[in-house]
Amino acid sequence: MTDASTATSESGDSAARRAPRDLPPWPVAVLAAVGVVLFALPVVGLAARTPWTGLWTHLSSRFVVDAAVLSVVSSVAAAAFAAAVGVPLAWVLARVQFRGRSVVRALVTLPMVLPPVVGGAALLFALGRRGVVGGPLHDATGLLLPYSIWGVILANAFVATPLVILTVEGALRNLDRRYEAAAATLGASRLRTLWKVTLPMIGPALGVAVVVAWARALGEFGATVTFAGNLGGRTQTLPLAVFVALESDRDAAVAISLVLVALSLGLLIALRDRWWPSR
Amino acid sequence: MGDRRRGNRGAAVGLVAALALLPVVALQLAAGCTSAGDGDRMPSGGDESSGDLHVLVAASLLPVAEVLAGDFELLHPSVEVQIAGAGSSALREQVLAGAPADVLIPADPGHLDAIRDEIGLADAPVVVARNSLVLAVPAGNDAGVTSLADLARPELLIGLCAPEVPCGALARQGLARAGIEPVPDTDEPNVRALSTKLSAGELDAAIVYATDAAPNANGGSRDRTIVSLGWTAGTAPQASYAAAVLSDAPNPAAATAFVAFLRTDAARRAFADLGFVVP
Repeated sequence: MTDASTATSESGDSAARRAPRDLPPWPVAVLAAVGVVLFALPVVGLAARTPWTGLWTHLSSRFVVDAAVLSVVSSVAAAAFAAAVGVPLAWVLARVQFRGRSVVRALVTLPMVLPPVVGGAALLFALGRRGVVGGPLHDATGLLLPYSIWGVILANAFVATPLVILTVEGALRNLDRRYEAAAATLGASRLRTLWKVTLPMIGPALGVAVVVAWARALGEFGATVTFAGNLGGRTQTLPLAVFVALESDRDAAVAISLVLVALSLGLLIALRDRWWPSR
Repeated sequence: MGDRRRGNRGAAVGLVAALALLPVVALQLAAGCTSAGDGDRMPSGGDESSGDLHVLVAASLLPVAEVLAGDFELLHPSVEVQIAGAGSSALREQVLAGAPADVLIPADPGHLDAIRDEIGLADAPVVVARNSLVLAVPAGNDAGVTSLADLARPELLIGLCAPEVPCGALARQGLARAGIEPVPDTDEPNVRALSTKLSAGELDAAIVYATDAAPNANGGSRDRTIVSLGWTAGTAPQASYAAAVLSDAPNPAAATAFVAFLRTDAARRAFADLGFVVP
């Protein structure tokens, strides 16, 4: 199956190569340039403010290293959670007809439009020590999600999972279902069809979805600080470290921001080549 | 094939880069026009105070600042007071970056030093209010907190402000003087976030400003969710709010009048009503 999908993308590639490759019409070029400037300017601004000489001292401090490790661990865990829960949910939303489906879809995409701080507060009211669910859970098991790495992961996953759900649902809806039908007629079970046919076919979309979810989790601030709090070495991720450092030491804040930008940019570039072969 | 691809990409990049410069140049021109026009924006010297007055205040001052702005506008009907609130160091950054401001009132007078050096102040800053730190617990005090020493009990959920912000720095100084080593579960980036967690019962104790635990906090309409136990070890640390008129204030007449107003009995009453200590 992997071979088949590679072949498809290759034939698509050569079709694209035969297409005329003119320069863009001027309105397209101008608007595209505006877009580039919009996104490049902040990076330029950050680089201009960076204290290049003392950079390493800032970056090797315990405070920054702890935050970076926590950020990587929690954002990867959140992306994994987003994939594990988001893909099945997207499948259900794309394939199963049931009453209230649009309500469910709206509900699971709510974190995308909600201000993250509101999402974090809502999580706190639901899963905190005095929360609707968190209260009984805490009384029964002593489990406490806020102020722990689990709280960070949950807050990250809360804002990141909708991105997977929307992207994968779209991919599933656009899928040519005859491949799945063929697998079924050949005797594959529904689960085996999903695993061996459907998932490989939506592979690129799933890859994009997970990367975007991961990136969203890495940059997450509002829900994390509201739900999980901020404690160095326990719940302080890079964005939180930047925020508190801005209060006292702008050079440190800028240095940490630079790490965040470099880390995100590096991974996005690397992953783009992995998932969307350049043409 | 690879070469052709690269060539195309190079041409495209060149085009985009060239186009990208256009908006930059345009922006610079626009910026030049704005700063040239600034002089014309000066309010007429005829009326003592009129026009817009931009007042930037520490986040903890926002509720009282709204009240004071209303009172001031009653006395000076031709002045429109625009209040903006943020963390004190964020305010400093905004002003240094050129945000329009006439009066600045941060929670830590130290922030005014950088502004005096880089922009200049019209007069010496005037302390208009102080705010004591208090040990506070959620209504009910389920954990049975009685004194500051309880902040060292690891089994309790303890919150402080981050050491980078005034309320966190002052709290740590005060605790150090009292010989208490707190074991916080979270270092919240600002005092509003801290009191939110406290009032939700997600912390057993925290050190907040007296105004956060005052009966009139949150408009006084709701049930009290935070109870102050005072500062149980000697003199409470205090934040002081000093008001300063910037030397490049667009509306210096109204700015001076506003700062003078902050020392009147009416203004002092408004401060005291919300739990501030007035000098």
